[in-house]
Amino acid sequence: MIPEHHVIGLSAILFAIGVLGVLVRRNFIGLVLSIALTFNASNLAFVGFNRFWPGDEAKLHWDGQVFVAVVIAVAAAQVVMGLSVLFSMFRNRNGVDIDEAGA
Amino acid sequence: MSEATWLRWIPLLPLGVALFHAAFVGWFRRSPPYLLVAVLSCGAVMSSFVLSCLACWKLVALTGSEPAVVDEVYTWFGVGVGEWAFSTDVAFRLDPLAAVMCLLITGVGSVIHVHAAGSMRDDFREDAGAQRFFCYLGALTAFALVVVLAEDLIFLLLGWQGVGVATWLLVGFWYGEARSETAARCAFLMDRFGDAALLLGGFLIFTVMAEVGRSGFSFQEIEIAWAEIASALSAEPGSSAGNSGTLVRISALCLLVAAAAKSAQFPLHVWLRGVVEGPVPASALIHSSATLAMGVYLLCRLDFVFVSDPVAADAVAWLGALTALLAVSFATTGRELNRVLSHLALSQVGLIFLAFAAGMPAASVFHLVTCAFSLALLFLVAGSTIRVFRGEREMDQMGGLIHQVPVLAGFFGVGALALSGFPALSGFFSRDLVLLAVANSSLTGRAGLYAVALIVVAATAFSVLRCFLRVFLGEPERKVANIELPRLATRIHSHPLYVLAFLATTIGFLVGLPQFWGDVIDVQRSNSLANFLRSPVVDETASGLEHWMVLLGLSMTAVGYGLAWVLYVRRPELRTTSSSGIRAVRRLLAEECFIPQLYQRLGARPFDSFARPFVSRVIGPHPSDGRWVSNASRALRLGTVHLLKRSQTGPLQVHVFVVLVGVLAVVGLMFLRSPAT
Repeated sequence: MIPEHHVIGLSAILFAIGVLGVLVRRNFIGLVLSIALTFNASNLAFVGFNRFWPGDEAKLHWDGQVFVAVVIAVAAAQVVMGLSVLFSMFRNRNGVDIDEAGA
Repeated sequence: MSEATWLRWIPLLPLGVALFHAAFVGWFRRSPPYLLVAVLSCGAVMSSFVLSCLACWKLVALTGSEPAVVDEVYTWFGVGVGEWAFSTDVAFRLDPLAAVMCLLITGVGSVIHVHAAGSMRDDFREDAGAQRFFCYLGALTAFALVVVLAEDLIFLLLGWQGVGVATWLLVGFWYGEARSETAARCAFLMDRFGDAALLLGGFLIFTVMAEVGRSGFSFQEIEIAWAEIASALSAEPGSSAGNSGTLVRISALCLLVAAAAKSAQFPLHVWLRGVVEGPVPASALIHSSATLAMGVYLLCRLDFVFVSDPVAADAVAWLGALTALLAVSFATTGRELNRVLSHLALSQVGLIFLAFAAGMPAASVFHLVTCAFSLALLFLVAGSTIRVFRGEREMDQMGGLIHQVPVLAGFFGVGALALSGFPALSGFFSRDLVLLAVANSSLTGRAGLYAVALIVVAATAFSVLRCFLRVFLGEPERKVANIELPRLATRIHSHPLYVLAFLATTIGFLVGLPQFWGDVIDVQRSNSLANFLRSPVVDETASGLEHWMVLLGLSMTAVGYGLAWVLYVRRPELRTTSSSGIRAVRRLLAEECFIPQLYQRLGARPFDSFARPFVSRVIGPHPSDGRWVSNASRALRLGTVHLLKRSQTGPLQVHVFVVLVGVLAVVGLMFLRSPAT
């Protein structure tokens, strides 16, 4: 059985990578990917905590999984919006560098 | 105790229809056909009445020490941890007291709705007026039902506020007229006073309960906790319990203020005189069974608070007696027909408070029921009378109506006799019970209270007969509107009056015959209302003088009748030949002891003289006009812009980094401050 600190540690590492990506990437696609990575880090934490519910009631609880479903739905919606912005940006400016987007 | 999930529909039906009306007017800005509006509203209230009857039937079949039909809808909210935690439910509970009130509100409410559907039809001047009116009337009925059926104090407070708002809306229904608008504002202000007192009382009750380790707001929990507190206080007077004893007394007085504001007791009675500015069916409902009855209901619901504290009971008794005396003396000299009836209603509520304080809630509820029917009847007939006289309200201008509309005279006569306690009509039995309760009580100044009650009985008989004599007998002072006459007897709104007249005549005999009358005529149903309410009945036959007391009450009524007969029929010249002293008293009573003017001088005018310059100089008619306010807001706006625009540097990553640093700082703080475990 996987101990819980492994799950949480992996989740923390993923989250850190995601945040770093948001901070350093200039490419729009890289930015969206990094944000998705932070989402998945929190999803992992949700599922992990759900799994490690104390006592015998672990089988009865689905709260963490429900949150994950909601997060995935939100992330999907965000990707749809992001991609549509990306396409129009690419069509109008021939590039997806975000520092030039505001200019 | 038994479950019934349909109990919630008793208040929800009228409320739903009221919401429908409000939504319809709000969205479409015009009414559906009048027939639909009227049928929907009347149908909803009548269905509530049928449901109430079913619930009562179910309740009667139950056995046990505390029978109740409950309907727990859902948990509204839960607050707190440990011993301070409580949760409050949206739950309806029909116990005997709630059942009586529920039948009263829905019964009188249905009759008034049907009457309004007939009589108000031509009065709605604007497009959506009918719908607006039935929306308010239905909301008043529904909120009164919520108050009556609520299981805990918090939920009751919701209905309590709703009753206040609906009363305000109904009084100010004709908002274009200055009198109506002022009256509505007055009613609203007085009502807020009572709401604040009720809230304060609720908090104090909660605090006191926490001291004996209990929490919760449901009436049963409060009653259990109160019994513990009372026994703790009686066990060790003084010492540490002294503080909690003071709190108990203050919370009882807060509840009294709340009930006094809703039931218009002195000195918060001034809002009631404006209610007659609203539509007639609305004032009938407010005076008989909705708003005025709510204060009485609150007292009866929390009667254990007053039973355990003789000082609070004395306060209730003297307040009720004072109000009854004042109101009935205003009624003896009043000139406007519906205002006199309003004062009469108020004096009866004062008597009801008195009977409650005397330790017989059953007597007060009984008197409330009998008076509600006769008052509703009188108000509706008075409305028709004023309509016949083309809107004239002064009784000096009326007269001789018995020849033109005998039906109205008959209804008014029945209502008047029932209200004043003519033998064998309903008011007779309940009035006797009230008088007996006062005489057998252990209140301070019992003899004085009994004397006040007797005077009120006599003056009630006098003023109600005076109304009848001036309006229906004698010569007509003013030409009546002949067009209305043939329609009055046949239209739908005269039929509900038969129901009211029947009940005003018989309800006392049916439900609340005092014990000793039951012995005399050998029936089993004597005092069935008190038995039903399981109220602590004072032994009426304790003193052995009960028949003499009845005779005394009866003779006071006769004195009132006789005085009215002498002054207005036999020797009318006696009224004009009066000394300056009598004239001064008359002037004082006609101005209602200058109490409204006092409020105007001490309350309204100082506030007005402060607020008007404040508004015109500081705020200005429009936000951009006021110098100080607009300058201050302009300075604030420019300053913030100056500060914040420096942070808008542009690159997205910098912003994200700042957010990250902020989040880390907050999380770090939480880690530092959380206790080490």
